[in-house]
Parts: sequence; C-alpha cells; structure tokens
Amino acid sequence: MTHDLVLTPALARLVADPALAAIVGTAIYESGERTFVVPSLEWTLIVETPEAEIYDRVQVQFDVFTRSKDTMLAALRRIDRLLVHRVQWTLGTLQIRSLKLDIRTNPTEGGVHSGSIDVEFKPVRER
Amino acid sequence: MSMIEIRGRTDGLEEMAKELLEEVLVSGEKQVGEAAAVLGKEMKRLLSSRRGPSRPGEPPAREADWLWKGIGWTRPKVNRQKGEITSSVGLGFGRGYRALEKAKAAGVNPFEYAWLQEYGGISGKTRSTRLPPRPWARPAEARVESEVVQILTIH
Repeated sequence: MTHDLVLTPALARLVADPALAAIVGTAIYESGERTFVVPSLEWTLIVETPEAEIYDRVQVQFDVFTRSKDTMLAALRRIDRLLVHRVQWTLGTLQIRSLKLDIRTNPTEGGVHSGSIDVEFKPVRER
Repeated sequence: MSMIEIRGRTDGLEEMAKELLEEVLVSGEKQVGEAAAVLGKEMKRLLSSRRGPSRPGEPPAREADWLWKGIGWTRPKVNRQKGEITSSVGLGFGRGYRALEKAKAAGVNPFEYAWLQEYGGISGKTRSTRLPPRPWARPAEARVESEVVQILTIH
C-alpha cells in the first residue's frame, strides 16, 4: 500500500475539520516542507511497506505544536477521533483499519507545547 | 475414586506441560537471541548506511559513528517462573554501551540524541529550532517483523 492512498484522504479529513482548524488554522503540512510555525500540525511518514508484504501498512506520526497545553491536547484528541476511533472505515478507495500505536506529550520548549500521535493504517483484506 | 483418577491425570498433564515448557524454553532461547540479532542489525544498518543530509522521515545521516555502534542486544534471559524469554535491543544494550562513552565524552547525552532523531522535537540554543523526526527504530521493527515472527514460530 503506498502512503498517498491513505494519506491524501486522511489529510483531507483533518483539513476539513472545523475544530482542528480552530486550533492550527491552515498550518497542516509535512514536516520539513515549510518553515516551522506555531500553532501547526505536522505529519511524517514513518513506515511504508511494499504491498507484497504480509504486514502491509503505513505508519504516520502527527505532531501538534501550540502555545497552550489545553489546545495541544484538544488537537491530539481530535486527530484521534478523526483518524482512529473506528474499527474499519473507507478512506479514499480503500477499506482501512487504523490503529493508534502511541500518543505522547513532549517537553515544553520555548513556550511551545507539543504532542504526538502515531497512527497505523492497514488495508482490510478479504479472506 | 473418580476424583483421584482425575487428579492423577491432571498431575500428569502438569508434568507434561512442565516438560514441554522446558523444551520450548531451551529452543526458544536460541530463537529469541536470533530474533534480537536480526532487529539489532537492521537498526545498525539503517543508522550506518546514509551519508550526506537526510530528509525528514528518513533515518539520520551517519554523522556520529557512536550512534550505530551503540546499538546492541542482550543475551536472552530465561524466566522459568513466568515462562518468558527476553532479550533487549537498542541503544546501549549488550556491546553497544562501549560506543556511548565517546558521545558522553563529547558532552552529548546519547539517549536524548537518539530519541530526538527518532521522534523529532524542538532543540537549539534558543529552543526554537524544529528537528523533524528521522526514525530508525520504528522502521527497523517494521522491516524485520515478518522475519522475526518466522524465527519465533515453533515448527
């Protein structure tokens, strides 16, 4: 499974969400692709396995940066709800199972609160 | 009478289970050691292969030799009471600890550095520089997962 098959519709879901937009605005981008701003939501592709693999999956790390802890936590919860809180769902053209691998808050640096959520997307295969 | 017969059979199964567990632990020790080595070598490979600048999401470039040399794994440890065999893999385990002395001598906390590479963060003198993730541990786990499962499967 190539990452754009799941990332494009997953990101569209995040961008279209008013609650998330109220926190990070339009600053949703791939890490390293833009100048770092606060608030923002960055994503990084961590793992992408070839489709032929038995353990076919895409793992993505989402990082939220805000000026307050409450909004950072609210954004993480929102991402969790939008991308993970369902057993099986249609994402773009694929039937997907998504799994929250990890969620963590990071040390506050320079007044910036940050937290991360790692999500794994797996295609559902018919037996 | 039937109670006694049943108990006797249960004892027999327990003995069989103990013997079976012992067999599994003996063969499993080798398998766990092999699986740990596979994962450790993949981590080392990811950390040592790239030269020059690395993009976010890619393993870090080979700047510091101590980072990949610092990856190691412990010998399998058997806990008969729990029926567990464990081997730890990662920075500073096994022979890896020796390499970390170089980092410490240079004033670098190797564990903080490795964590920052894996997950990214905010760093720099003014604490305002964004360092994107350059993961090496999670991709290594994913790459060897099927091989490790195969090694650990009892045939």
